[in-house]
Amino acid sequence: MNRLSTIAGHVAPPAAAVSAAGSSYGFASGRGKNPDDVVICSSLRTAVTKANKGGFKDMMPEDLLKPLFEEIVQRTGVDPRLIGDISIGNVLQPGGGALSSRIAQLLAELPDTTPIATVNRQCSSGLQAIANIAGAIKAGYIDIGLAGGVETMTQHSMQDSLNPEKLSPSVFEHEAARNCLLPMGITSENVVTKYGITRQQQDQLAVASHAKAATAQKTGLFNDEIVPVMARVKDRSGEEKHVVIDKDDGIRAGTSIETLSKLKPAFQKGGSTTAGNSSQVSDGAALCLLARRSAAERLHLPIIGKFVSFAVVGVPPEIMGIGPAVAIPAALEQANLGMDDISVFEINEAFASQATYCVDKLRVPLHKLNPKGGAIALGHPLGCTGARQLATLMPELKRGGGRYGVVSMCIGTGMGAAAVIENEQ
Amino acid sequence: MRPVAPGAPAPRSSRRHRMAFCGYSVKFSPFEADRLAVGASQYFGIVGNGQQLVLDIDRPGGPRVDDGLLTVCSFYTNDGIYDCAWSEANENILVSATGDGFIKIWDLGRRRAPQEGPAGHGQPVAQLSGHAKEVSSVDWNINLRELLVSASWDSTVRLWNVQRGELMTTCGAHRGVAYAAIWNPARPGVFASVGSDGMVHIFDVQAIGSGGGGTGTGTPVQGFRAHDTEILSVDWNKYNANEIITGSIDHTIRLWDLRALSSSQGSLGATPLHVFTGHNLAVRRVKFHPFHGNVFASTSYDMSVGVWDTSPPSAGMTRRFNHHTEFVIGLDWHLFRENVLCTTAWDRTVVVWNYLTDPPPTQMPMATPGARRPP
Repeated sequence: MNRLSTIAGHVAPPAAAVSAAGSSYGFASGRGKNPDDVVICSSLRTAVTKANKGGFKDMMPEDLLKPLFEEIVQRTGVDPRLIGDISIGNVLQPGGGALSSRIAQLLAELPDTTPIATVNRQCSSGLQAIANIAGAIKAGYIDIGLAGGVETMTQHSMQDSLNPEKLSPSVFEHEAARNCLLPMGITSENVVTKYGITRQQQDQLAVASHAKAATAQKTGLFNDEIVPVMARVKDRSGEEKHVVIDKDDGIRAGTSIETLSKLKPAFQKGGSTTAGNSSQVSDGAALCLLARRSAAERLHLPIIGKFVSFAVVGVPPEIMGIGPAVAIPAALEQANLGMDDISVFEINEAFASQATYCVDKLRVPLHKLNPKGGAIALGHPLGCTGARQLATLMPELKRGGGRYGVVSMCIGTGMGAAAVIENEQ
Repeated sequence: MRPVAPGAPAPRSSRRHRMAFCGYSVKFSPFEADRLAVGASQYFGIVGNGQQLVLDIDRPGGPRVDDGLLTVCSFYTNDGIYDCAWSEANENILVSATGDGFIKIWDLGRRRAPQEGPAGHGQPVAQLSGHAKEVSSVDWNINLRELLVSASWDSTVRLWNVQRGELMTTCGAHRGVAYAAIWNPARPGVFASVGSDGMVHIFDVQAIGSGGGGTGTGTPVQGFRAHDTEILSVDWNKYNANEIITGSIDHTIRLWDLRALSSSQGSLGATPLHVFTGHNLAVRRVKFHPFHGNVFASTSYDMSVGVWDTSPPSAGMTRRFNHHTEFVIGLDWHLFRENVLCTTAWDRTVVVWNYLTDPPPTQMPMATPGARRPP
């Protein structure tokens, strides 16, 4: 008998044995529970508010992260000393907010022995942070970790993030490299042109987003995921007040096709991408606690879901919005699941154009798409969004009793990311 | 005999010993306190020779070595050693299970003066031959002290009368590899075997007969599917004759009550009392605490050693040790000093420590002036 293969079989058992045991290796674990699964213990967020005029316009990133750190420790009962690492997604702060995230951790009285890192994969940063912590748990570096994202687009605007003078001249001589500099609105118009998306389709998706979000807000469907935050707000006279912010303030209940159709194109003359069918510019933060199942069970942490698979795929920069149409099939394949297995799709509505394309391309049933509204109604605080979507997904899976959910978004400079989550509530 | 009272403190806290070969098995002597046998294999046991070591934990007044583990003797075999066991009848006798299908019997009392190289301290006084493939486990019966049970990659479990040097029964126990067969300490003649088919079989010497010359028909008195994957290890609770634990490549350890298996016969899965999760890779060896019925230890391919509590509601891993840097294969509890554990791993080290009071050393000790080099 071949000793090498016998011993190798102990470490990586043959497929038949694996499926029989309901266990598996890597993220692509498909069905069943395994001691080394990465599980989600809690997923929370702040409200998401309008940049420059919303409830968090005077709040700094650390102000938004701190209450989430505190709340997640309190809700899960995790011993903060056992948190092996923290990863926070952020796009617009200098250095990805490495400084402010560490400060937030310490403000929340998490021990200084717990390390923290920030990650920037643009609009997927929040989801990438979760995937990084999930990966660290899978690799055995840590047992328990925190992951999330934060963006204060009032304080750090997208316009400030690029200085064309500090780019190599060669960038402008290379088409694909140059296309990375396209404003996101132009990439939206490119998707419209290339795939023949109509203005009406876009406005319809936007109206639906507001309607779903308004209903969800009115019926309290966001109550489980939103952590109320005491915010400093300066009024017009500059006087500072403290207000509890616990509601998304970008949702417009009365939005109709008529009102949206009156808006002028925001990015290109004769275009169809408007302020009304694009995601809102927002401030917000979101956070989740991840653990290896064996550790979560040992420490009696709550388990609400399993992080099943994750994929990021590149697409041409000038049509970056099509990312989810490529990434979702990749994540499903890893998980050995089909579109029909998914109960809820949280697909980020960066623009109604690209969301419409992805939904059509993948044939996502509309009742499964962003059931509580998407970024057009709720807002798109870039680095926060992926973690925000997870926080929105988990209560919805619980409410509807769905087994699997997907979180996905397009990524500036041409990528798409997607994760498959299994509901265990 | 130099036994010490249970609970007596060890002369020095913890020890780490480096070997030439990869550690596969460690067993404390049932006669000599602080004496242990280590079965080791060259090149991870995949090719090469085997080495059977006997080590003594040094004590005040005795000879000292740097790492606190004195080599008493070392025997060599042509193939790797996968397991070893002390005789329960004679303090000088131990056996090694080898990769080429033999069970080698060694007599410390007849060891030669040490020689350099593969000669070591001499040749086996006898060997038991019959297994067609690698012998993965040997266990000496504590009650019927002439009986030895072995499990082999040839799928059989064999019962030997060591006194007469003969095979009593061959049990075609498993489909695929038989990984371990362990005697029940409370019921003379009863043993459990596990294998790559995910089954646990319980045998009784009385029931299987022992016609001599290997003519007995080895049929188990009980069998059940414990895991859907290979089972590498099994052990009996020393304080409850009906309780066993199984360690599998599915990363779990399962606790079973043989009187309460929901489907006690056939190949349908039975219901464990508890499923212990915490190891991240296959569990290689499980061993109940000799002093406490609710505690056991485990080693794993995830390179860690776990100590577990079986008593509800706190059932689970209570300690995890990461002092090894390769697959941890061998494990035993000290029979005289409470809570002292010994492990050996593919990282070529043997580590002895009290799991409650001392951290296991992660590095080799520094040389101390005046101490003797290991031979």
